[in-house]
Amino acid sequence: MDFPHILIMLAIYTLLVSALNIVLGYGGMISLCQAVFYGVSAYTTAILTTWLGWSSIPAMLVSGIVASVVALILGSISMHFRGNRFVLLTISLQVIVSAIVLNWTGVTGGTSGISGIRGPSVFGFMLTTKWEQAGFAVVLAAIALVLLSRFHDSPYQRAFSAIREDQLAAQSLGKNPKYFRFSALVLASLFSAVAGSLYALTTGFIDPTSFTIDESVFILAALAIGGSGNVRGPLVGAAVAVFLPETLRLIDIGGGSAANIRQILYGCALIIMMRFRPKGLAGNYDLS
Amino acid sequence: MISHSQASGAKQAKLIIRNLSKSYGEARVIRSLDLEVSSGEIVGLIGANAAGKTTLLNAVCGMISINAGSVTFDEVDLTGLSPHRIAQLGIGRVFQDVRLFPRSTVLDNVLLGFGAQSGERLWNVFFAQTRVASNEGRNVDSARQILMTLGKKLPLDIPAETISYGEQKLVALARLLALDARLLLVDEIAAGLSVPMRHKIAGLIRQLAGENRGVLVSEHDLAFVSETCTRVCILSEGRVLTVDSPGEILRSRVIRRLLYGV
Repeated sequence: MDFPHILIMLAIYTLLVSALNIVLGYGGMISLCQAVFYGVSAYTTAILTTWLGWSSIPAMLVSGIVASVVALILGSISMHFRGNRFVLLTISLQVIVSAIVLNWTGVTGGTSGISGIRGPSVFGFMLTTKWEQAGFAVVLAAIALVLLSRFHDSPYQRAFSAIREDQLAAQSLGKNPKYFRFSALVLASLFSAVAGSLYALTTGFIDPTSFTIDESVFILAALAIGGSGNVRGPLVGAAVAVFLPETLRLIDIGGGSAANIRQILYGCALIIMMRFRPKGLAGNYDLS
Repeated sequence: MISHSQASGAKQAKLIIRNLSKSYGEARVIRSLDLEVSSGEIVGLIGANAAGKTTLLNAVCGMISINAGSVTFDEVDLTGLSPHRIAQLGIGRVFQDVRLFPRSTVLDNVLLGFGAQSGERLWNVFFAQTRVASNEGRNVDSARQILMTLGKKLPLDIPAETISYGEQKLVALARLLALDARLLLVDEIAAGLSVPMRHKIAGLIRQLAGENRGVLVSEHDLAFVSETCTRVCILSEGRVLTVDSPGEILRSRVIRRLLYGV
């Protein structure tokens, strides 16, 4: 087993599932475009570090800003979209951005992607080994979990969850749903942006296949399995998402069909969870 | 005094409704309605079903748009304002179906009533924790005090959906106290309550009006209206039929015919 790689992926999925937890777990907004923020950030980081020679931290900061701008665009369009219409809007955004990434070859490299991305560096120190990079990823994920824990215990979360439960009642107490939805989308985009930068910096190569709607659905499945509305649910979901394929690899199921078998297993796990444990393994709310 | 505000009662403010009309398609629900509610007054709205009582409350708190007329509160035109903005101006609502946040605790339901909370700004959650904690501490103390002065010992840390219907209505009132509402819109609060709980809530509403708050009560229960209100307005087919004291209204033959058909 490639433990440093597993740790890096665990950190990345902790960030991604936590991001969706903010939007869906607390806010009740089913978003199927989490891979957009992930991808936009990964590409921004790759372009800034590879073509413009920026170092990792400034590139990550700018990637976060770019992802936030995309979230603000989504937020302003989605102000009048709720429920199923919001889901369709996020799918549309995902499809549009995936098409742009695939076809804007001059910037994204199209199907060839961008390769040769330098590894992360922190304050001038290059993190060259996989273990160093894993440590960097785990520290970032841990910071995200601490922030999510503050978020969970805050009056902000209380009001945001109240809007999810009954928007009109929350408004009658002076809570502005637009502010909460906007700010939560931006916060979630920042979490996803960190994941995207980490992915680009630690794998050294990105292409459009990592940021499709399949990835957004996979993040949603991980949240459904782990559970939402608290800090531990996304962590459990990320662990399942990362360890399940590794376990399959270890016991050598499927040979050449391993990827397909993995998809089938995720699908079955999701159906079983929805039927018998709709709150997920460690969640507070079910996703209905 | 049951308000959390340090001031000796709420600031004077008057609700003025002028020439208000509201239609849903062909159906005219409210027709050129005029009404005023001053601080310290409890105005009862009575009328048969579909007389326009709840529609009027919805129009005041911005939950529906109006077709004509104006609604002003404390000299601020409420027309076109969103419900949260109207709530921030000091207009609180108790819904007919209560609408507590069922999965949130009793305490959290009351805490949600407080306006301008430092911890509701995302930046402060991460970067001004001391200020957030201090503001939250003060609000928790105030919420406990409000709940205590409502005169019934309620468990604070259980989901609101697990307390009785009457207790839920008390919590709904507590939320408005946390909001420090200067005008209370109360929709059929007596419905489904035991007689002692009805008396209790009537007493609380009188007490709140005594702190310089205006109260507009939509109600079917005439005994409750008589016990609570200082003025009663009868609505029929979206129009104000008459406005008078509860005693006169209850003696009126027109009203008996309107409400009881006799």
